[in-house]
Amino acid sequence: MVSLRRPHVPRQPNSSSWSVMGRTSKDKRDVYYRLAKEEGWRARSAFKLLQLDEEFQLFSGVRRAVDLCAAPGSWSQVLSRKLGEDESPACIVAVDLQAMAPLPGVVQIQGDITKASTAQEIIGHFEGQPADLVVCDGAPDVTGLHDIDEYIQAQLLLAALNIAIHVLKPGGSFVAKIFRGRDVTLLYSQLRIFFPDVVCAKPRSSRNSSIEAFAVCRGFALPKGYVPSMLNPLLDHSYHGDFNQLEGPARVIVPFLACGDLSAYDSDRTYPLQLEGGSEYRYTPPTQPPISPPYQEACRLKKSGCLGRRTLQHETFFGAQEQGATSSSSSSSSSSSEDDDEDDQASEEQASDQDSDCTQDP
Amino acid sequence: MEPPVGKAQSLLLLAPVTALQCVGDRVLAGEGPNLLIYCLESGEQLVVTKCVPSVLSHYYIHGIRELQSPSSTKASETTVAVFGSKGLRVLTLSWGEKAESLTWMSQLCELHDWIWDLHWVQGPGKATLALALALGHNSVVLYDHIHQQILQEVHCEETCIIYSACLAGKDWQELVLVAGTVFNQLVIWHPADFTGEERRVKVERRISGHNGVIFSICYLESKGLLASASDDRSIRVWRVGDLRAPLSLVQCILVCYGHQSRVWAVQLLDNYIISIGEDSACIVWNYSGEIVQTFKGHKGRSIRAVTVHQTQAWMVTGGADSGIRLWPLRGNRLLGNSLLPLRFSSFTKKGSPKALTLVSSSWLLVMTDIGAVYLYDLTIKQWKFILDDINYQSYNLLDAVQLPGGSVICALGNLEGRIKIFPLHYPQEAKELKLYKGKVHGLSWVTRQPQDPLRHDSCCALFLSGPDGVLSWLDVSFCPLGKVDKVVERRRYVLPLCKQRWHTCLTFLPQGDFFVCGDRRGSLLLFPCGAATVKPSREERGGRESGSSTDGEESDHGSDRSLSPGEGAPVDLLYGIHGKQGVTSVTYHKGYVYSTGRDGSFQQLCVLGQQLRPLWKQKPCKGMDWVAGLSFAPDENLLVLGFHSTDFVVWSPRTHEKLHKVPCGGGHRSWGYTSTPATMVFAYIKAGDVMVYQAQEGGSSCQAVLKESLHGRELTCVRYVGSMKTQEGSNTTDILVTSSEDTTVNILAFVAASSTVFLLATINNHISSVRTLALCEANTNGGEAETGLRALLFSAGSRAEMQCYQLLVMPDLTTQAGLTCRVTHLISHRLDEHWDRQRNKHKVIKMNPETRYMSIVVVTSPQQSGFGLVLAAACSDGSVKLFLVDELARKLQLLAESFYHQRCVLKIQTFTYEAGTGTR
Repeated sequence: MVSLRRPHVPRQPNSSSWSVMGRTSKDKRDVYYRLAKEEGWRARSAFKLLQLDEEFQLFSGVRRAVDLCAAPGSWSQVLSRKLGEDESPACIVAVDLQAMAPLPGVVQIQGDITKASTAQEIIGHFEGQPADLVVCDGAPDVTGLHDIDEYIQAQLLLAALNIAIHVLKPGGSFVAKIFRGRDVTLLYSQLRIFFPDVVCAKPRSSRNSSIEAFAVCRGFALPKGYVPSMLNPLLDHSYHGDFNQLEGPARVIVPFLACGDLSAYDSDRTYPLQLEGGSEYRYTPPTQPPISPPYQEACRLKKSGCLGRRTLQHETFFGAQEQGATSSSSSSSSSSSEDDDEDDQASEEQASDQDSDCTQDP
Repeated sequence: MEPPVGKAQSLLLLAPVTALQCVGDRVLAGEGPNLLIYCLESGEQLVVTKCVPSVLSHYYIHGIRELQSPSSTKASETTVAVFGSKGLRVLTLSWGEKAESLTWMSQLCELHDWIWDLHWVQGPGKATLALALALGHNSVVLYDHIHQQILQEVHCEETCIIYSACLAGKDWQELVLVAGTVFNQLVIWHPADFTGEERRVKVERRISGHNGVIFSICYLESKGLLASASDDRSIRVWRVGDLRAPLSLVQCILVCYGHQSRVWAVQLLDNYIISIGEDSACIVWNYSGEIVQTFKGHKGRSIRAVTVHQTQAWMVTGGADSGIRLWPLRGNRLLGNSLLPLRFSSFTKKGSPKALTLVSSSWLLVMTDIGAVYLYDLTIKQWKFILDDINYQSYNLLDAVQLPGGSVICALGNLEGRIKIFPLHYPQEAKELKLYKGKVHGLSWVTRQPQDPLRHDSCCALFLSGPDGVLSWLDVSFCPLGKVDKVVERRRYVLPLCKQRWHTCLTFLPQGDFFVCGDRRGSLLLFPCGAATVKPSREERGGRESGSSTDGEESDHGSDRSLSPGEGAPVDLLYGIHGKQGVTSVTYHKGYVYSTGRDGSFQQLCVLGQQLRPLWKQKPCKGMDWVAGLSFAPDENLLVLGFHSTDFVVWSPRTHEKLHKVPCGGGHRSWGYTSTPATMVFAYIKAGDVMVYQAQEGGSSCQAVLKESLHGRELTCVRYVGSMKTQEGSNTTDILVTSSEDTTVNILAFVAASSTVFLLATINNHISSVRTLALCEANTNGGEAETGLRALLFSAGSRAEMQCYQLLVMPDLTTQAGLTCRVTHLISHRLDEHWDRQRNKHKVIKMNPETRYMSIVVVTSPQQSGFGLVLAAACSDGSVKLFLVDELARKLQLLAESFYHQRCVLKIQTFTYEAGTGTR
């Protein structure tokens, strides 16, 4: 539903030298951020999916794949580059609430993953065939209150699971971002209802300080008598009792794996700009800036000095408006980073950590 | 820290304040899982009267709703429902003269889904009360908290995830839910509209307009208005009429952009709209959409909770920094601050103002470019001509001082080295002297604690800077009527050699032997008052000079070696301590000397023997590059005066806010400032006229800090320094240090017996986030007599930055904590310091990684090994580095580094290996 990636706050540097200074420090701080730009990925999260595939061979034999909460599109990029390398191209459908810059070989659906119609539309693009792989890297609009963020992330995962149940072929795979919070065991147990093989994996490109990991679920099998329905929110959300306390067969233990080759870059390490064995460093601008982020109007007003000044507007709505009329301008990438970025690394770091920074609840 | 008992118990929790509710004169606060009850009756002081731990078990409190029931007639009793995550609990609170009592009205009720809103309604039986709950998937539950039963549950056809919800209506039949969806819409539906077993209610109305997720919704029934706050940083107000009736027309009447970041919550009041946001601002809007007040003061990024007292006269905000503040809602009836031009040209057409000085809060002296002096009386608002002298045109210096008797003495200095001294009310009595061959560079009156009570108000010191660094001290004595009696040049001193060689500020030390002087070159100088007989101690102190001078290339010219203090040289000198732009003020306060400078910082120093010892330099306010002075309020609160680009700003470090902001155009113009407890005046010259800013309530803040903030961002490290007693028989106080991503380090005093914590000092020298701390025993041979808890503190973090401080915690019963902490900044170290000094760095890309220190640890201390202090650091570039620290020489040196790990090193610990010491 909501997807969140790095907020590309538009910056207007005063001079070219400033921009070189300001931007290279981010390149040093986060090697994957820099490599993503150099390799043309829209976000550094592309490496997470690549490393997950390295570990689990998720892409082998996949003909039809779905990317949920796709914007800005880095996972769709990975799918389109990695799938169907033989003569017949794979069919990839990307779903998001917000608009996304087009990608060659990827069909886009701007829609809501809690709607049955979206599932129908996906299947429609596969000519009635079910999908081999469903991936979801969506994260909520992080509020900074960890309990809310974990709850919404869990709901997002369940919504993704629900639509996956509708579109996956038996034996298919499902990969989704998961926050390892208090109720994570409950989520695992719900995933296990549909997938005999559930692993929690943390790619090397996912930061150590981040609470995120990925649930890699394989061997999809619908339980006997289960009728998929989009009408009810999936499953029971009851969290009675502490699942972590359960013992015996009720306790679901999901293996936790760090993945990515040991030789892979360490996402927490700061690397010199001149990487060993790499070609000569040149600054690369971000691949794809965001399309109409929520803070766009506020930033425009601020730039023109009108923030807090001209606020009176008269708009009248007659009658009900259906959703979708406005969704073209909707985007949920977090606008938390204040755009008056100071020369304070802390604030920059916050911005760069947005896609994954939600540290463990105490 | 705790005695070894079987179970660890939480004594105090400082957590983000996520819920606030005014209940009578009590404020209920949800701080993590704890419910705190504060009493506000004592006005500005917030007293914790009760702490109820873990009200909702492990769930955090997100909301508190009071039962507005006419049936409960007792004013001192109320029932509230507390909710958060999936739990809720109802309790009754009653208060007498002093103590609260609390009755649980229900167990902890756990629901199957997230509770976004809770609303008291009439239950199905007329006499009973029930709770209406808005749940995470856009459903509404009617809940009986006493029997822990769901009476009704109704879903909406729209089952998407919602981020906010607002319930309205007195009973189930008229209940209405407004939900804020991830589609940036407000969805309105009536739970009682359900048909059949499906229990799917159609959406009655969708309101679109926002461009981001909706974080908060508020409905004001009396006006028929709905407000929403969003990720798009705007607040929108919608005219909806009576929500319970079928909606006909929804009109967006206001779109308010004013927050710099996301808006977390909005509340509608009778006359105002209040919003809080991720920019740590609380904005008060009127119903025309104009910002009436902006409250800033919370540290860090977010205000999470706001509540308004029933009188709507003030409100309380709670921050992610765990602080709570109270603000008056004054609306447009603001303070009585005024900024007025004095229309100098309407009084006289001759000349235009060049220099001004504020003698007191009512008298302003102005000098023109044709050498005339005028007085403006701020109380009767009249100009008066004093004198004119053609010799003082175009270049002139002006200063005045009010004597304890009330009379005012002025002094002028000019281009030819002349000075003129005259009583303000007898300008014809002027005395004129020619002191120098060249121009007078500096001129200032300095008041002095009377040495000799008999000479009380008959003598005043005037300091003048002449050509070639000559600093003259003139004693000016007066007749009882305030006429100038005698002017005697007492002594001449010589300022250190530099290009702009004159003094800018001066203060006497109370002992009377010395005065401290700041010069235009940014140096601080210590001069003896009498004829110096003691030899300078410069040679003995060797190594320190290079450490304290800020720019090495010029330090050789620092002292005039040919002179001894007997010939007028300073006995001590801190060359260029405030950078090249100069020292702006020196003040003496409670045993310490404070200096400010145009390097944007202020420095605390102490004078030991004949030495000026710098303790700690701080940048008080981000963006304030020109700190002009300090003011110590009677309540010990420090105020910082300075220029923030082109504004004059009075900054309060304690409340973290700009008390005053005057768009004067910058600090280069002539300006004056005075403040009394009743009023504050700031005058300056702009565009050929004199402007005066006057504010009531001199320097006091409009906010009250009800609960002190801790850190604005995530805490990264905490260390235990030691324990001490403030006095015999008192409770033990533990001293802790915390570091945070907000670039600061806090020194805290924690009293376990009373579960209270006091902030002793905040260190903000780091340019980036602080990740790790280490402590070590401090060297005690500094020759100081003070007793107390002493420690050496190291802090390290991003940008390969490490700082070292000496902490000295001493009993001081005048403070709230009973303790003060003296911080001495010893070492500042960055791995790539050579890079910062490089001149063309903006043109080149720095290829080195910007290492973060992830963890530091003291490996050996001199006390243990006799070898010296060795510090080990785990670095994000994959290395472990060893540093040698020399506390006395204030030096930190890289000894060795190992890139064994090839990964970001996260943690470093020492352990003893049989034959020696190893790391990790």
